[in-house]
Amino acid sequence: MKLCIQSKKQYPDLISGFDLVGPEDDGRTLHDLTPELVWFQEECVNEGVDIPFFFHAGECVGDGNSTDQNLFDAILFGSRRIGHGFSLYKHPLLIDMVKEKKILIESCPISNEVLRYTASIMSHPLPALLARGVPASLSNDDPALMGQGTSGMTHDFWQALQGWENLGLAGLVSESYTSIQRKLTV
Amino acid sequence: MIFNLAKEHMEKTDLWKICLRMPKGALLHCHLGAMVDLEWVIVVAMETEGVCICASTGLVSDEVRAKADVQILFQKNGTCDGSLIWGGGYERGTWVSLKSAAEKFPKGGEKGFVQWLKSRCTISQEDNVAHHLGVDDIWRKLQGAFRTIAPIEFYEPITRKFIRKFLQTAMEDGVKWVEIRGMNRNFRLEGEDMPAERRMDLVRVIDEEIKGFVASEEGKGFWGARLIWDTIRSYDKDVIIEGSIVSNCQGAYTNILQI
Repeated sequence: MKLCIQSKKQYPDLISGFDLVGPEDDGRTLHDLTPELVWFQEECVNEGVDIPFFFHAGECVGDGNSTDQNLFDAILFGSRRIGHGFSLYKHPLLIDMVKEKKILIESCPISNEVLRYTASIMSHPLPALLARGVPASLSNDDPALMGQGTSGMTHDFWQALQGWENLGLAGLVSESYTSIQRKLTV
Repeated sequence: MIFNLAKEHMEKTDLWKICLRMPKGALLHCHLGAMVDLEWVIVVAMETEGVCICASTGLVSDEVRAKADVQILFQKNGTCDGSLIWGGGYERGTWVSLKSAAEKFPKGGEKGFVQWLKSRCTISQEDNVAHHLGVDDIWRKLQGAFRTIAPIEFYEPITRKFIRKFLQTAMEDGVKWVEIRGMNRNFRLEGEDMPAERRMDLVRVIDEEIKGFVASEEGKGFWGARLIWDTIRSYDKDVIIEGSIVSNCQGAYTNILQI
């Protein structure tokens, strides 16, 4: 965290935010990490830098377990975007809060499939979130290790277009516009 | 599960051609170490001066090659004769030249070597259809893959080419902007063969390569890239706040995973 703040001072245009990574089920919950996160927020104020959170949260199949509950804490900590948010569709109140706070869901459908959160694109929860008006964009997460084998996003776009008929081409274009808007505003 | 079975088919469809040419906007969620085609990474590593390989035992058969610990890193004093690592007389932990080892790979030389190493760093077709084994099991495989590939990618001369290749490929795919997670603790400067806290140098190198790409002819029209600083959620308080864990214990943390 100290190095993150130092690098933000040195490269203010390069560093956009802070996140915690690694398997969410195995790692510490945001609740458990609260002292560190509060320290970080205070230190950012002291040092006069603005480093928003971009947390991974809800990258799990659990329902009400501690990983699923990371979604509550990500929102309470003011996360600007949420990585995956795979279990968000089970939480009507959080869905409303995500919309109200204009939190973007960074959805990675092929990664979710390869890491066994969903058996196929057809049973992925993103269409349920889009139907509720949740802002989302598509990403590829770890394409060289997951099998896409390229830095591009074409495989993820293809699966979304083929699998989700309510999305369609217009919906997909709208998602890519959303990603650009977020890049510009965040 | 179905993705990997369908991948080859989807790349032959008309819809693929449409998707390929679509503007993709901003790629907002990706991890640097998993962004570039592994065959390309392995070939670049073989061409990089001083990059060596070592293993926990002589890699004498397919079975041993599938399971033994393998590490690839820049080393100042590696042995030139790479064939040693494929024999029974190999002494555990001896660094041998990666290039020479690849040439002497018993099953098809360099080509066979690239395929073998790639198979150690990707999730297999078999893993893909074994959904019943669950999330924790597949994460262990993903972390094992990362443990092998990250030290290769995060050696400065390779990292610089890697970032260029990443941005170039993303741009060709219609991506205009990327936000990268990937403050890897394996990073080492050119000519450095001991672990050190080098993440500030990594930020500098990434900054230089992004700027270099955007200013270049091939990067014309690309908007740019930013970094989301990330740290591993399973670390304890001191490591998360203070950051530094590399000290006297060489190797103890060099394999820490960042996915």
